[in-house]
Amino acid sequence: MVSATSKMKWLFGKNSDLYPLNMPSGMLFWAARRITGLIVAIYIFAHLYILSTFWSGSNSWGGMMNLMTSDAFVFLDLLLLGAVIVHAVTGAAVVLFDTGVGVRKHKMVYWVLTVIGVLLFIGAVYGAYRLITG
Amino acid sequence: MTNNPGKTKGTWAWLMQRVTAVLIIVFLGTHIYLTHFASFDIELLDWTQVEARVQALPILLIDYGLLITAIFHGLNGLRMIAFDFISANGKRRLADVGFWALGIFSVIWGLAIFSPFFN
Repeated sequence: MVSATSKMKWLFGKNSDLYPLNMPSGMLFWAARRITGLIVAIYIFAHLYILSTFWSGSNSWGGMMNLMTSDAFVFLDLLLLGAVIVHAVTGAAVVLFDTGVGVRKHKMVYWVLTVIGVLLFIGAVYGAYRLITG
Repeated sequence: MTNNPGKTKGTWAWLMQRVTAVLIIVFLGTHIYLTHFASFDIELLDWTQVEARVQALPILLIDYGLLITAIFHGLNGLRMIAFDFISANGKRRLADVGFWALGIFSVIWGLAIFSPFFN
């Protein structure tokens, strides 16, 4: 009998193909894009649901905004923005390669996009820090 | 395309995913900037501020553009994931009906969301 833990280790452990650092760069970008895509797609509907508070008038909206601007939700927004940035940056690689740009320099494209993503996320962290501290 | 013998080869889905991706970078970039970064001193987007933004036509058009492109892109992406697990053509067409219905419903929902500001 193979235990569940050792099965997970075999699938996702440091020696497995699915361990992020063992993935070829294209596969890593693909996996990151897919996971963040799922998160952001689900978020769209949460966003519509929350904005529907408009229909209940300005008082309900004010209460909703008080909750949404609380520190916890600003932090969740930061995580969401992180997912959006990862999705945008990895998706940009797809658009570039499909239009024939950088196909023969794909590693460099991945690195440049990674740097852009990190810089964008630093901006997002700064924004969240400003909102939380005040 | 041996497992997809139907009429559709997915070319439009592929192309539109790229087109909406580029549009979303523009729309969402503007949306996030205007909503969260343009005015740090305004922590609370209160009713009157939302009203002013919604009644500014360029902002409304960007938000509606984002609504349509994001819902298409999101559902088309979910369809792509679903099709990694569904290979039977009939089930795929059934899934298509579901995705289109959900998409049209969501766009109408989104278009109607600002209605309290136009009364």
